[in-house]
Amino acid sequence: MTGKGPVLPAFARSAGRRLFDLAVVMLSVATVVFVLLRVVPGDPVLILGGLDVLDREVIARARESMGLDRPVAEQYAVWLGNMLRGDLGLSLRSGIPVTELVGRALPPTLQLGAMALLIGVAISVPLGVAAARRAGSPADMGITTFAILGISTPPFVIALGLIYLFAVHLRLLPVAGYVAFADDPLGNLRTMAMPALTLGLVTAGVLVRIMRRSVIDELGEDYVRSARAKGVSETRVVYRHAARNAAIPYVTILGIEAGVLLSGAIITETIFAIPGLGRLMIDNINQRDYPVVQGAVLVVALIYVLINAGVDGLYRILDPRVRAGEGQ
Amino acid sequence: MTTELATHRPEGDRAGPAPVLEVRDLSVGVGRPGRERSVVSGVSLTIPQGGRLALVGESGSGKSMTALAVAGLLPGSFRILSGKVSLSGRAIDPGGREMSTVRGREIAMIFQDPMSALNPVMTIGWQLVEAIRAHGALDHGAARRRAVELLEEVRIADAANRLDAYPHEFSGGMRQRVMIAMALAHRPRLIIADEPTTALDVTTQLQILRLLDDLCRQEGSALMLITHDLGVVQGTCDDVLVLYGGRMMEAGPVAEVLARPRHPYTRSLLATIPPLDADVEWLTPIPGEPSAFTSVSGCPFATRCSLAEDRCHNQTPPMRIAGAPVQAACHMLESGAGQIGGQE
Amino acid sequence: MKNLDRRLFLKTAGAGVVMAGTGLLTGLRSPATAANRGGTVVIGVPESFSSLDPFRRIGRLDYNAVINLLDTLVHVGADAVPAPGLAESWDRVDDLTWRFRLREGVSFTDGTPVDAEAVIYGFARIKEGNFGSQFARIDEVVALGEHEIEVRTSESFPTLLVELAQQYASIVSPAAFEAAGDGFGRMPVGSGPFRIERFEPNRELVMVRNEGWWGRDAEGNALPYLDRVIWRVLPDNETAALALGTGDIDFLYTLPPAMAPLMMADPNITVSSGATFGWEYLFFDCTRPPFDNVHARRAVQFAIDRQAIVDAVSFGTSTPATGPITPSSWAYNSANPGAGLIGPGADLERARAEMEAGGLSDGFEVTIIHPTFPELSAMAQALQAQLAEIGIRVVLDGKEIGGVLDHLFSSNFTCLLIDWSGRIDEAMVFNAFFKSDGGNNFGKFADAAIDEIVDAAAAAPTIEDRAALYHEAERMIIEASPHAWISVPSELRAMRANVTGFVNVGDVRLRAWTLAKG
Repeated sequence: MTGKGPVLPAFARSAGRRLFDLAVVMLSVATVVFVLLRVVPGDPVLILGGLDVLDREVIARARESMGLDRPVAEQYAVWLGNMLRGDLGLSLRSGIPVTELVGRALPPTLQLGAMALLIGVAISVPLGVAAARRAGSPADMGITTFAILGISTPPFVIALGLIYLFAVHLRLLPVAGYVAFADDPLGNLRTMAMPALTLGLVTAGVLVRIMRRSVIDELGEDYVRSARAKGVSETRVVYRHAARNAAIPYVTILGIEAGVLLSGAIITETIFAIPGLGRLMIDNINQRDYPVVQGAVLVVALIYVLINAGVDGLYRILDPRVRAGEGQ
Repeated sequence: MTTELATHRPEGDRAGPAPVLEVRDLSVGVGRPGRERSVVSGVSLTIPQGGRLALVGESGSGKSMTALAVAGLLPGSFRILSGKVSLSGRAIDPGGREMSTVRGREIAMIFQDPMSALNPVMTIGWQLVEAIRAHGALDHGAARRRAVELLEEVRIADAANRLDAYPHEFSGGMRQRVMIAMALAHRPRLIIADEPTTALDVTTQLQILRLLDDLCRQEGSALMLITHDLGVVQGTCDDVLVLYGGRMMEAGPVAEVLARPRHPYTRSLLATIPPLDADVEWLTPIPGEPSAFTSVSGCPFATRCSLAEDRCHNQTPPMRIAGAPVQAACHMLESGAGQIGGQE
Repeated sequence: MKNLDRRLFLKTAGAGVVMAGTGLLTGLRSPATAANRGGTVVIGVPESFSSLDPFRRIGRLDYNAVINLLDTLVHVGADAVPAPGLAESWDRVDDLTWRFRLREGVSFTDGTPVDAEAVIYGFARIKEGNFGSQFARIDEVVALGEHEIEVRTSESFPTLLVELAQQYASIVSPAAFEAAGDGFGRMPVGSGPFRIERFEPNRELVMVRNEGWWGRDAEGNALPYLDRVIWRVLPDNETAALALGTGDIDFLYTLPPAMAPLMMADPNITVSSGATFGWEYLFFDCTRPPFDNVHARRAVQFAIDRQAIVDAVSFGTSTPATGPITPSSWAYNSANPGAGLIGPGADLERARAEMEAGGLSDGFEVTIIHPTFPELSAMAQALQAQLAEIGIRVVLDGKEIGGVLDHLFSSNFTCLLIDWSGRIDEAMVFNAFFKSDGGNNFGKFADAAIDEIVDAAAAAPTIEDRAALYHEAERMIIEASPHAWISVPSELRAMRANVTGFVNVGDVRLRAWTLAKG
């Protein structure tokens, strides 16, 4: 296979490979979600109005207007065909295009995730490093306890604690709600502060432990001793050598946590009334609004793939050995 | 040129410049404060300016711990329990903060495994520049030029272009050259090389050893060579200090000790070195296992020594003259231990 | 005395439907006066509005927005009887012909007039919509003048007025409907008390006062009082309650019964508990053993201690249901509740007698399918314990609501516990549930005598005649027991103490045009 045809640069080949993987992932997810939704009991038309009017004629007309009277295989084919053209269909309940619903839900979720990650990183790096430098000391114990509390406290408890403190007691922030950044930047930050802090604290708990463990491991490495032997200051040894290398396992967990945040967002978005992807999914699963769930899950799958690609990209930046491995 | 080991001679008696390194009665322990177990006990040594001392022993003998203690690089749970360290006549506290101004500038170290001793995610140049700029006031550009010079000194071809390479792009021998280059960055008065060739293949071992030897001579640096391999000692070092179980066993000029080992342990150590013309099966392993910790009392080698008597197990033998200029710590010197050959 | 005020308010709010007067709007005894006109009320709702297109099958919550945005020809008045809406009066010319006179000078919020032409257009949309079958009997609608129309039906349509009061019979702006196409559900244009300003799915729906609306309060002040109503989605009950506590929102659309005691203890918050027309009830499959045996159905009916369930499950906020007609209905037989057959407590002696009469002295085992909502799950467990007293071994099969509805709609159950939101007129209830061809008759109940009396009750000319017929129909239905009614749930709402004018009609619709903020 060598030397034949145009030689693609390594990155182009890897990009092509990634696109192919992406297509396979998306198609599989699309199919699995489509099938699962139809296997689960519950009829969107019945659930929508509850028992308000169950007249057979009304149900039949509603079903027809939603296209649910056609064979499932046909529905699948139509949906798949439209999906390839970027059309995710219409919500059964509201008739609103799914792309629009998902498009509206995406920014709050991405903002929430980004802010939570930022808070998680901002807390976990200094605390993790500080704990590692003083492993076994009371300070380390305090930080480790904080981390375990962060991990083991359910997000809704943290959320309610923050609400009681900042909204009910201090009256500094609204209890819940969402304002788009474009409409009112300050209002947006006021509504996003507590949800982001909730998820950020949970994330920080996991990340602090990883950072601490990794820095401790790295501080025991020979190259750290070499750096000390060169007469490099201890702060530089910790940050430029140990923490820099600890960033590699840390980023792996960061990627996983970014994915976990998406599921954590379901609870947080519900408590704080953020109109994000998590809530869009859970509400529409309950309502069996098939096209909306299908569309939302596809976008979530895409986000996961992008997170993975992002982690790989970070590896490439952080670890020259990964860059070297790609050339082959 | 003699290695001063004995503590009985008053310091003021010595003539000439102060030795590069003087260690008196060093003990190193591990564990929680108050409950330490010692791994090095009562080690004293002196290296004059430009001198070359070999620290010899099996793994666990305390040779590396002695070196790391001097450089203030003991791992987390290890501490110096007692002893004095002086650099060029100035007493230092190896565990203290000021050591970062000493390390890399006055004492440089080279470690056993060049694979892990370099930071894998930073370029060779970055690490050299860091070593150069850790002391002194060179700007980045000047530091990079100095880095190229250093790489050339350790005979790395095309040095300027290798500066931006990462450690994984270098072979083991080249990495050890880089380590040597870093050690030489500030022309230190003492280079401590901890098994610098153990991880390398035999041809590379010789090259690295020769390079180290040459550069030390050229720069006038003293050398403390830590090795388990007596074969390496010959031709490289002036003096040798044999450690076992964290205690000194025997000390003296290399030629003297290797030709006529006084201590039973030194002899068994020599017996494990194949003569150049011998079969490999001929080697005599030392029976038993060395203990990781120093014994509270008695000779640490007693449990493995074929000559051991009761007192060997109960009383720690002191270092004493065993036919000048060699000293040894053995109860059995008078009972002819010195006369027994290296083979049964 | 804040506590006393609150108790007084609870009473009047709960009794909203029996207030005297000619109509709900004009008869409104208004605590909200012109003095506190204006302002914004934020209403917390537990889920998003989906579509506001009245002709689609939409959710219960969606109708709460629709009723405030789109007007209907007929309104629901006090006593839950038809009252003037966009039609200021009507005549039943003969059995098949109705004439409606429209209010003059009324416009849709896009400025186009609400005239005969627009109403005829509206009827066409209604018949095309998902609920068209409800109006199948309407043959044609013709204009008699600019503000008068005639509705001609193929057969007698005695419930036409109550059907026209439903939100799926809303009158929409023809121009706006044509222009919006599929998007009408997001920006509906009609002539209701409010017009829509902004609709962000999953977040907020904002409506502002329609200055041109025709509604007036008892003192002749224009309605609505409020400038703006914001419906904000707060999916979490706990947060929604906290938001009400801090004043972030002014009104909680629905309050879980379990949270009512806490809310009532807060002097800044008023709780309204208003009876509905709905039930929580057991559905029997009348063709499948053991409930093909009327004695088995009656045994269950008599064995239920409704009062005990109400006290335990809804913290006393709901009331025992002793038949298909609820206490807030105009047809309720207060002289002889439960037709003298069933009361709030259990009658185990009669229940055992029915078991014996049906040859079921040894008892039997039955599976009850129920939704896993907390209230209904608790109710199912109580039923299990109560029915054990007469030897009925109940197996509970809790399912998510979607699964329960599947079983119900496909008539695939022996016994099923569910709730029903009720209807403003008994005809809509009796026709749907107790006629052999009724749309909601999933238990396949069939009784020719009952079919006959239900038809007669719907068609009788006066409300007194209808009530008498429904009383008899109710007795016959309790005798046959196709359901076992358990309780009548309440609409629990909570609001800041400065929000006044809330009226509970019982049809699970929040009429924001009566609200004011002090």
